[in-house]
Amino acid sequence: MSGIIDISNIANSYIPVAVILIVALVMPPITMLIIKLVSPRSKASAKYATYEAGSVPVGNARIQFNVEYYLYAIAFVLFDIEVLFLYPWTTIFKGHDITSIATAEMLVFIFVVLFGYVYLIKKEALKWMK
Amino acid sequence: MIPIALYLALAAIIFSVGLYGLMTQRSGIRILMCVELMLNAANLNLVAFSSYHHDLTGQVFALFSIALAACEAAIGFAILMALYRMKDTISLDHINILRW
Amino acid sequence: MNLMLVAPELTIAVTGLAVLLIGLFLPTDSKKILGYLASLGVLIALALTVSSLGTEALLFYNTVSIDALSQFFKIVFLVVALLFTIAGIKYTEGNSNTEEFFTLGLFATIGMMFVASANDLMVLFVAFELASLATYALAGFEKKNIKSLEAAMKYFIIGSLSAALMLLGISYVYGATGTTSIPEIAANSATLASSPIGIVAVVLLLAGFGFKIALVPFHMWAPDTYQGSPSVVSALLAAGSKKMGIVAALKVFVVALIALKADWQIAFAILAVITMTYGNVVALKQTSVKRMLAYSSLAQAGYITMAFVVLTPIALGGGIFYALSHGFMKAGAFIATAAVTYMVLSENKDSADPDHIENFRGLGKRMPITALCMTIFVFALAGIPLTAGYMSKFVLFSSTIQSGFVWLAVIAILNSAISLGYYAKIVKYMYFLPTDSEKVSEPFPYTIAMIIAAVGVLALGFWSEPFVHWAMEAASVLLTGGM
Repeated sequence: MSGIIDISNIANSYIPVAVILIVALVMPPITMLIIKLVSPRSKASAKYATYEAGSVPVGNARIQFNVEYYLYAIAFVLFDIEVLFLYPWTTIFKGHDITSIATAEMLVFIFVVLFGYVYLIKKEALKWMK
Repeated sequence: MIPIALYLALAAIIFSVGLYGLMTQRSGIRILMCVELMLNAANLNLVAFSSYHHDLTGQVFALFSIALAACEAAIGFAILMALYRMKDTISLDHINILRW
Repeated sequence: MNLMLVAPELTIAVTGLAVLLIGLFLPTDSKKILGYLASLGVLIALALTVSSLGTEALLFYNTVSIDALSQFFKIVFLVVALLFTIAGIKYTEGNSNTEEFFTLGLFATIGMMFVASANDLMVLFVAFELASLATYALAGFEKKNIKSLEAAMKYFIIGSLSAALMLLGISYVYGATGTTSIPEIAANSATLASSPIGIVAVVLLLAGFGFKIALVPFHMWAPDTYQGSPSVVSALLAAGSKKMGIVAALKVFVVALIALKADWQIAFAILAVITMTYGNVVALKQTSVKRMLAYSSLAQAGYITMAFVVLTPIALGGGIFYALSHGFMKAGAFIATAAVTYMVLSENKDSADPDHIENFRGLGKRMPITALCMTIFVFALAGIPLTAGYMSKFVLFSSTIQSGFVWLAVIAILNSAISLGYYAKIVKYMYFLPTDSEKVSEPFPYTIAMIIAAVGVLALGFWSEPFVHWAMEAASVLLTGGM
């Protein structure tokens, strides 16, 4: 319950985090230092081109995606989230004497989700270019 | 165990950030993000209270509201996309035909 | 557990899915049948609800309760849904997205019905969101109409803000009482009343529901959305979605948070006064009929909110009865606007303001049935005797005076007087201003929907006793603290 703040307990549970934090802070400078010391350096002009291999860059780096892409993203997010309801279902499936009704309810749920899938296919939402 | 007051404070701060963003931002996408922040602050509250009361209702409620938040984002994106197709912008400053 | 008790909801759900599936396989020109199918489903659900009147039960582990209150509001929502689907038959004519229109409307109706029968904040929130999400999409149904999209965008932003505020408020209520069941919250609300968290929760919930009911200062989305959305959808929003906010607020405040009465009663009093005054005054100078109706529906929400202030069984019954009659009046008025819009658009495809009041000029000659029905609706909204609006105002205002809130009743009556100004303006345009355009044929489904609504308005006015009695019964459910 709240009100009783056990400082030592909180501090102890954060020791691994502190260790990782220190390692994370120390590692990058050390590696960068090693690279600086051991790697050879070249000062030729090709070094500063976009592709060191010599390919000539084409077009602009900021291109627009086809807006259809978002339709996929939205459909993905929705179907992805629906799985969420399976998770509590699995935890109570056994041991509460509701196995048959739970199965039936989940089948109804999946059927309704499937409905959405049929809808997407029929509306040609999953075709890249219409 | 971390005291519940800290969770509540965190949730209140996140909620305020979301509310501030919703009122000041002009881009549709940012507004959607702010709404998500606010809903997630409320979820954090629910889960914190759930563990405080040793009662699972709050966690289940949070699961439901996560799913609803996803649906809300989907509808919001769909409306924004339709707007973008019409006006080539999602800045809400340019959406101002209806007024008295 | 008896599934027959949720048969109306199941019927609507199955109809919604069936409409969606059948619509996918039909060519556009034969999609008209979907509207008839949807109307039939709503009619069956309405019949099932009426036949199960008087039953009381708790379902799904006490999260859904069937009682007089839920049955009453279910019938309100089903009647609005029926008007919506009938009018939708005409509106969606030749539209390739017909099936989405009806399915979304039916899903919104399920959400509203479950809000009415929710006995648990979790069910209430999920159902509330179901109805909101479906109506966001409906408001933006005209994908190529920038006004409709703007309406949807504004509605969406404010709606999701209200959902977030509501969820945070619910989370605090849950935190203070340890339960989401409405009767149990009422039993444990002593802890809520004694801690500052209670005030925070009340403020958040008030704002959340206030946005949905469109109480001033949470109203700014409502006029824009009602004006920009297709008129048939505005009917669903103003007559259905707004009632959903009211029944949810009744359940949360009057049942669950009754211990905090002192805190929210005064807030509701202030909101009611500001809302009705602002709505009526601003409506006076509108030139768009839809916007005028939107402001008038703000004002009506203000009257209904008075029930939260007075809190006697008669006042609550009056508020609930008002919700029913407002459903008929407002849905009918918006559908009449839809008929006029249809007429204007069929004459001139690019008309910029099909809902401008100039288009109502001489309507009494051009579309006699529409004009007559519209007259009945606006008279009822203004509270002229022999209509539903008069009876509901009479019950509500007289109970307010009886309980000693004379000042509130006086403000409300003055407001009704102001409102006559703009309602009379519509009638003046329809009957007393000359026009040189000729008579046009009236779209049949709109006419049917309007006649049903007009008959409802008159029936509730002439023969109001059983309905008022029934509303009182629903109100008594609230005051005995649920079940």
